[in-house]
Amino acid sequence: MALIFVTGAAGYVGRRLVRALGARGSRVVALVRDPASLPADLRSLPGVEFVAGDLLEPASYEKALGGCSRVVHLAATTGKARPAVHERTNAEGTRTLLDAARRAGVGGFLHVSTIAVKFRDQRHYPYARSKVRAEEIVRASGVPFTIVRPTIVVGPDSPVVAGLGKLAGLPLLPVFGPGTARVQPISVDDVVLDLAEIVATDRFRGETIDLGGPEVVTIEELLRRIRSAAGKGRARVMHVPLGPVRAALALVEPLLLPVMPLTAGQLATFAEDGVAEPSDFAASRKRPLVGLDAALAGAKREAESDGTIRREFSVFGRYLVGRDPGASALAHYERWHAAHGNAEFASAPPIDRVLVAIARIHPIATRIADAYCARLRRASLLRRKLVLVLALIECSSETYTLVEEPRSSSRAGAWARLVASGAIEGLAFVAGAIVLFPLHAVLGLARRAP
Amino acid sequence: MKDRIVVVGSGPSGVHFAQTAIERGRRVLMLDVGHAGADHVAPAEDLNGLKARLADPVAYFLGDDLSSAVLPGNAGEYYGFPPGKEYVFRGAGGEEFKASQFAPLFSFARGGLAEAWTGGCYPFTDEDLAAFPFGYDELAPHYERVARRIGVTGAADDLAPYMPVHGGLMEPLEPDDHAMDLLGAYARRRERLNSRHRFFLGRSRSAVLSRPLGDRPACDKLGRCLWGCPSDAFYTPSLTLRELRKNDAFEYVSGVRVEHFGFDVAGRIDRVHATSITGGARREFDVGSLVLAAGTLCTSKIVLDSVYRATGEVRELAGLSDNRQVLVPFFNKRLVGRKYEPKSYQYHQLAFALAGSTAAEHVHGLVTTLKTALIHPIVQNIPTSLAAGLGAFRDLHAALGLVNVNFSDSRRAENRVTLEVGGRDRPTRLAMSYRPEPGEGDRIARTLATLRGVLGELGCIAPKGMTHIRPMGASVHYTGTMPMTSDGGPGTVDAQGRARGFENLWIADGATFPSLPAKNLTFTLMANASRIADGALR
Repeated sequence: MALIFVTGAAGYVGRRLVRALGARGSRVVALVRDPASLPADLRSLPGVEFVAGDLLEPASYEKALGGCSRVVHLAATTGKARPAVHERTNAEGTRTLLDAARRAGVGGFLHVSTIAVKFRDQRHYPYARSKVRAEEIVRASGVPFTIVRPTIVVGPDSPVVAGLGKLAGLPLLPVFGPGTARVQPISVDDVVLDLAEIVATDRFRGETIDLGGPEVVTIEELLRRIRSAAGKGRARVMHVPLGPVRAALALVEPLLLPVMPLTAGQLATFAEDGVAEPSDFAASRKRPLVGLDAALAGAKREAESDGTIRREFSVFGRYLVGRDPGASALAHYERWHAAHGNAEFASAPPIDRVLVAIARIHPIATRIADAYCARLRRASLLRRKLVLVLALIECSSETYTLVEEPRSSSRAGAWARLVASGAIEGLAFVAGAIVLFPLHAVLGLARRAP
Repeated sequence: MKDRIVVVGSGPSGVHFAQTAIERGRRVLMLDVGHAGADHVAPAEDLNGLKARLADPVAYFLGDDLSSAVLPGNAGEYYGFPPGKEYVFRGAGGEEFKASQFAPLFSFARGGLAEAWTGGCYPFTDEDLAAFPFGYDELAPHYERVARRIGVTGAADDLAPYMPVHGGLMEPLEPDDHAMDLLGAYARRRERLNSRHRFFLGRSRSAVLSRPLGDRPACDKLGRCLWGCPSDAFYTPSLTLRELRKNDAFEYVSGVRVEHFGFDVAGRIDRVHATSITGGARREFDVGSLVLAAGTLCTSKIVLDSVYRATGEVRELAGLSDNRQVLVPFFNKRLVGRKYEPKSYQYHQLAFALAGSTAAEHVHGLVTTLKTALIHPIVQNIPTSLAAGLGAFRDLHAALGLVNVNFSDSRRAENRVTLEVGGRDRPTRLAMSYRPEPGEGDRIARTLATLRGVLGELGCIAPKGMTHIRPMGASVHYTGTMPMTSDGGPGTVDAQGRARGFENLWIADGATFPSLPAKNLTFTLMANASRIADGALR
């Protein structure tokens, strides 16, 4: 039986594909950067072997590729990265892999591209440009190939839906440009089934196939559907001129890339149609595709990740008593979040989420956000989290002494400390008010809008 | 009352009625839901010992699911009850109610709501008892008897005119530093405080042992009062229940919720109907004489439901009363920056009286010097960021105190309980409505102004924004629905607690109070139940 080599097996589509192939009884060699970081159930899939390696270093996977007759190439740099990184991973990585595949005598190369290669304007979209180059490299490689171009992939925890969901969850729905660009989202399950089908039927005849879902909608409609799938009511739409925003984003991108919510390139989705051309392959599908609303319903509601909870616990502890409160308190904190916290987060007003997001950056940010909450959002999510951390600190054996003793040993010293902390408190509040009050006002007004 | 005595309820009234009945050579069957608490963990550890050495102190103090953590925005009045006292408020399936402007608490625990009391034992004066069909002299021997049973500490001091000095008092515990400091400040300004503010400060009357009593040791200052005294130095009614159960003449049936009573052909109560709380099986118990001591609300419901079943008539019981309570946190300027002592008695060590022109205007207060209460419920109320609040709290911890002010209440016709008869898909409920006395707000404001002045003279500051007026029902001093009167009609009881219109029904709990002075009533509940038992068995 054919041995299938899968790159990007730790990714959103990749791990589902590996599971699906494994479930069909295929034998899979999966290339990932760090197998130890994979979930245990994935690592222990029968018939699937994980190999640690780097796409750009053929020596790391040549041996594993040796016995394989088919390759599914999913690995790519997709999100926030500098143009050179996109180019290196997506174009050069593909070339390197193809060279190795040719040497290994691979008889079929399934290249997963993107609908964005069809966008007319790719000026600000290095990802799209690199994927265009990758397609050219595949076509010129001499290895039997199929190229697929999925549209927007939706499903549980889908990165695109998570990104758009951040916009869709805002009280005022920002739509860049007129919002009339057409999209045709496809469920991740359908993408996986299509890929598995192509491999299983050995369909490597040099086709380029667009993979789209059953429904074509405008980007504005997609945002509305994402919002409604997340259980939120209708929101007023705010149209933001696309050109200036893209230009501004492109301008600051080189500097602020790591902290930006979205890139100028990603805004292309708002400007360009991303629909699938009809194809023989699409016509030959024997199953109905998952509907858009059903696919979105499977997308998990926004929640805070475990890593985020751990980090914020440490920051909040340092803010309150100057140190991380320790593992046993953290375990209680995590359990509380599993039971209540995520639900509270999902239903918290936007300003409260913003306050939590700011507070968890650094203990100083926590102080500023909390000083603001102490006056204007006393029962907000941030206060609830902070009081919970305090409750855990005062009841844990490692930390209870930190809240026991007076800060000063003399009465005069204590009064001085009280005055000093009053002054710090005032500064923190002023600092917070400057930034947070306008934000609060905007979000609050937006919330009251019909 | 010559035959089988059935007592419903194991709260302060029930156990002291039963105890007196047993002492008089009678047999008693007590019916009770009787939720029990778990055994005390690590009984020899003090408070910080628990934090340092328990495997999971968070679970002990906040509950496994952290449900006892007090978070901003949580609905409801904060009582500060730890996971270990959760059983005190566990339901029994029969406490459905409808309330208007009244937030009642129920307990089905062994020992009742007083399992979570703070031990205040303040006898009523003749003035307090003005509406009662008897005076202090008739209660005094029962105050003494109960004091000798449970152990009450107190001193003959400035409070004596407002809290009579009865027999059987133990010497008070040694006051902690903060209480000592406040007593010193009071002594320095005593004349002015007495004459100008009519403010009198003294030692609390507390149900805590300053020397051993029976097999109970003296208080060894573990500082765990709030979480349940592990040494039994602090009294709760379940201790009396435990003693009663050693007696052959006493039979205790728990796990049953009494619903109503039934009559024989001659119109005498001959049985009670109860429901098993596990499984819901119906049970009947034969009755010679029936004593209801289920607590004012449950007793009222049993009577109303029984009357309804016998006659089809839905009655009302008027006069529901409760003490309004106001919490006034303060800090003592002299103690700022001091270390606090966690190893000390945690409930109030001082009490005061603010005398009004009439008994109804009297105000009684308890002063607790906060020490081992959890910090996070307090710090979140400081109007600053939590870090600033926590810092301030640490510097002020030894200086912090809390005044709990009680206001009197009177029976008024519009405050009543009645039955909302259920159907196939909803249970019969007790409906209660309560409206505060007109002008109550002014009375509270005047009192608080005086109190702030007094605290100021004692060198303390009580930040105005932190004063908390608790909702009606929060003090859990429910009384007045079946008052003791010299003469009266249905819905009242005679001076001996015997319900009018019934041949063999006695009411022994707070329902019988014809008025409610500004005082913790639990001690009088016990003394009066003992008095009723004495009279009924004479």
